[in-house]
Amino acid sequence: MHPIFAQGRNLLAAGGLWLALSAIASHLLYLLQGTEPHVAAALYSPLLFLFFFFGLSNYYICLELPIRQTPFLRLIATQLIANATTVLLWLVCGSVYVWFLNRIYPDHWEKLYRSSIMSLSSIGALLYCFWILAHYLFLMARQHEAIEREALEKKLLINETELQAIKATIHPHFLYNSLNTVANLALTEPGKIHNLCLQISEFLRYSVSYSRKASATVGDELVHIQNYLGIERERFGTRLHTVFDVDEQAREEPMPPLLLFPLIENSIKHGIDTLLEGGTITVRIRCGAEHLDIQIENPFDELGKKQGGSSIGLESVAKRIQAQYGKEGRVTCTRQDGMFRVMLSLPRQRALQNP
Amino acid sequence: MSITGIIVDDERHARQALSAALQAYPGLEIIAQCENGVDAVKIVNELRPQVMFLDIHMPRVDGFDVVELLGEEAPVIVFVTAHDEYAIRAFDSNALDYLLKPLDPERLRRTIERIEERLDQDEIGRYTQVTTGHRQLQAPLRRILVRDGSEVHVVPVNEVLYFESADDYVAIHLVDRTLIKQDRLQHMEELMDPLNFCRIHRSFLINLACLSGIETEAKDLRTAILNNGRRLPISRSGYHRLRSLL
Repeated sequence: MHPIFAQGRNLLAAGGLWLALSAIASHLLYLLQGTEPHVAAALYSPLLFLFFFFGLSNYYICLELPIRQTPFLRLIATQLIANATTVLLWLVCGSVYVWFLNRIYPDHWEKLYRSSIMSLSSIGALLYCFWILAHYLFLMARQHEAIEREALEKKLLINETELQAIKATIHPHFLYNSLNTVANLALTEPGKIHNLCLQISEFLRYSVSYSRKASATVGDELVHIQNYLGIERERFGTRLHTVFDVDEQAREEPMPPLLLFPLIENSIKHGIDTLLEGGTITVRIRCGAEHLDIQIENPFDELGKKQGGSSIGLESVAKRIQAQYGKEGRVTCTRQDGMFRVMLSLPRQRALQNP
Repeated sequence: MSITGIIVDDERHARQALSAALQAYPGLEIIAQCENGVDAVKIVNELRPQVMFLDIHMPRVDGFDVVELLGEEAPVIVFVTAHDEYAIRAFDSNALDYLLKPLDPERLRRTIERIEERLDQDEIGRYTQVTTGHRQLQAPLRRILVRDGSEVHVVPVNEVLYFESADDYVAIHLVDRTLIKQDRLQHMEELMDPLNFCRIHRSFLINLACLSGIETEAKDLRTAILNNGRRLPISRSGYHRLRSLL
């Protein structure tokens, strides 16, 4: 459907404009032909107004031949042929109209029509060009709007996922648990409290400040999760073990901030916390030629009460990676023999900048 | 004589902190500390404490599971948890009290008073039974907890061949053993996934995955044959249910 019919207001405005245009054109023809005004008006005005509907058909041609993607010659040739064909069709309709006029009010219509056919075709061709212009302008404006909206939506998605990342960080459960640990230590081992508070404040500081930055390094992220694990180790004691296996050169690599935390939090919540004897969280980071590969694995209780479904944390990480890297970034997870494994593959940002 | 109690919590610091806070009450003696629900069931069986300070969020067997497993043998329960999301369920389970962490000493004092009151009442026989806090679960059960004396078995539902009712008990038949749980078959049926388990007889609820055939000897005289060769009778209404499922 032609976009002009989408809104009655648009149709009315275009129709009005066209009415004025056809009135001017018919006046022009009247001046050229030098016949009586009422005769010229009766012949030309309806014909010119009819061309409005002929012009609408051009929209579909413009839609098929996007102005930037179509070879210039092909575009011109197609539009020229379309122009000629449309004008020809219009003139045929015109002669039918003339025949009709002769039947109801015999006069020298035919002669007048034949003598003005050249001027009519020129005006028709010109009007058709006007339609081409209008359609392309409309399509370009619409495309531009779509591009802008897409960019805006992407930005919104990134903001939203970042917000979720912060929310997860300062989730009340984490705060409750930490406060609890502090309260318990106050009764049992007060000497440990100072160190724990340092870890908690450093952890919170990173969460709050880095959530505003676009990029951190792998090293920053590792310090952040080490802080978190240090806090949790007070709760879990000997049930929590960790192994870090990180390529030295990977530490300087840039990566989105607060990406590792939700994954480690999951390993604790859905893994270590579900096991009677606890277990080991293993973090492996490899720096390949083009990709940074991060793998986190943890055991979980297969006989647990809750089925370990996909978590909100993991989903938000996947969304962030998708928003930032598109198809270049990958998140996969596997659940096998009581082991949960999540793998991130991020394009190396340096490799992207200096190929 | 002092009251005997145990502390069940998976966090070492939490156990120690509660134990330290309870030092202020010489009338209450903590005779054991457990770090998970499985140990708790065992210790209650062996030591018969009068009070149990029970954390709710624990691995594999949580606080509610412990209450369910102990059934009538449960001592007076005081839930101790960091999260208030369990409050409604905890009160449903007829626990004596529900404490939030970190512990408020004043609140703890009231709890101790309540414990003393409750135990006094018990002596004159007005003890209100602790019921299990398990309300009807929305999703079908994935595992069954069975207590065998002081041992806790966790049985994945898909390993069950069939349930057999025996008075107030349900026999849970597995490939290699049979466990006895104090429950009614009707209740078991409600907990299982109705697409996977079928009540083929007043006394039998079978796992459809373990059904290998049906033998018809006469009209209304049918026998179900299970994977392991075990033959069970099918009642008339049981056959209708079975047919609508297969």
